[in-house]
Amino acid sequence: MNGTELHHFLGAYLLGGLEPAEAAAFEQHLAVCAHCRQELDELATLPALLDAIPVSDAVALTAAAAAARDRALVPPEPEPVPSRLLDELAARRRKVRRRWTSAVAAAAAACLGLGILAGPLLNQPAKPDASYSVAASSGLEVTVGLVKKTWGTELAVDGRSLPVAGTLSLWVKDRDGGVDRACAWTATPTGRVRITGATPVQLARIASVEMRDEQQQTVAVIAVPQG
Amino acid sequence: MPLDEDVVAAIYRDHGTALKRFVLSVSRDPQLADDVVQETVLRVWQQAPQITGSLRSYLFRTARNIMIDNYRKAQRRPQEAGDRDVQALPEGGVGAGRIDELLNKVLMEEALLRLSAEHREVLVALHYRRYTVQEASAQLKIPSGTVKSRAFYAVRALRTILDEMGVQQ
Repeated sequence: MNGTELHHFLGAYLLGGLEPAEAAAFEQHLAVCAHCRQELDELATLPALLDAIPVSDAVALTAAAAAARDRALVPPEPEPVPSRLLDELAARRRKVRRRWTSAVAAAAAACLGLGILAGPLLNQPAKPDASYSVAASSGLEVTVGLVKKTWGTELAVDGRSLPVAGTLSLWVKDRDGGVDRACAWTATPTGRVRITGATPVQLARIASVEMRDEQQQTVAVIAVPQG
Repeated sequence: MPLDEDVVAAIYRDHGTALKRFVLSVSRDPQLADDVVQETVLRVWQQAPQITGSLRSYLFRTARNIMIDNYRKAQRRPQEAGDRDVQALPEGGVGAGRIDELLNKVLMEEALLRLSAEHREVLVALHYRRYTVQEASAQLKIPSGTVKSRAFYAVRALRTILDEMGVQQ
C-alpha cells in the first residue's frame, strides 16, 4: 500500500466506511503523517454537520438530484416576482439614507455590489425610470425620480429639511458638462417640497442632479451612474 | 446601474423558491412564509453592498433571524389569539432552537446539492447508509479504490463548499 493510497483513506475513514483492518492501517499512517492528521482535524466536525440531515432526506437527495438533472433539460418558468414586494421596495427606498459626503462613493459601491447580484438581468432592457436618494447629516433628504420622456426627462423631487429661505433650484448636468435648470421654487418654511421639473436632457445623458440655494451654492448632488 | 427593482427581482427569482421552502419547513402558514421571504429579500437588498461570501446562505440566515424575531414577539404577547406569529411555529412550539436545526439542515442540503453527483452518491452511501467501502462498491458498481478516492475528494469539496457558504465548522 503506497502513501498516496493511504492519504486517500482519509475520506472513507472520516465517514466510517473502512473495514477494521484498513482503519487500523490508516491510524498507523496517521501516527507518522502530520499532513493527514491536520486534514482530519480540520474535517472533524463534518460528520456532525452531516447529521443535521436525516438519513431518509439525504438518501432522497441523491434521487432528487437525479430527477432535477432530468428536469433541467426543460427549465421551469421562474416564479413571477410578487408586485407586493416591489411596492414595499418603493416605500423603503424613500427611507434609505446615505451619508451626504459619501453619497457618490456609496452609490458606486452599491452599484458594484448590486451588479454582481443582479446577474443575468443586466442584459434585460433597463426600465424607463430611475430613482435616487441622498441624505445629509444636517437631516436634508432628497429623492429624485427620473422619468424618461420622448422630449427629455421629467424629475420628480421629494425633499425635506431643505434650506427654509430664498429660492432653490434643481440643475441637471449632462455627460458633456452642459448644465440645464430643471426647475426653481421658493423655499418653504417647513423645509419640505414636492415639485416636478423637466429637462430636454435624455435620461441616459444625465450625469448628475444638483440642488442649489439662493447664492447658487450646491446643497445636494446626486451622481447618476452611467447606465 | 441596475435598478433596485431589478436587483430585488433577481434575488427573488434566484433564491425565492429555496427561501420559501426553508421558511415553510418552520411555518406551515403560506401567507406568513411569503411575508418572511419578502422581508428577507428586502433586508438583504438594503445590505447588499456589505455582503461577502454566499448570498444564498446570507439569505437563509436573515430569514432565520426574522423567524426568531417573530417567535420572540409572539412569546412576549401570548394572549393575542389568532396572531399569525404564533402559527409561525411548528406544532409543539419548539421555538428558536428548532429553527437553527432546520437552518443547519437546509444549509447542509444546499451544500450536498453542490457536490458532483458522484461525490454525493459515495458520501450518502458511506455516511448515511452506513455502508462499508466494499458494500458501497457493490451497490454503486464502482471499484472500491474509486469509492475511497471519491470519499476523499468529496469531503474536501464539501469543506470548500461550506467555507464558501460561510457555514461555521
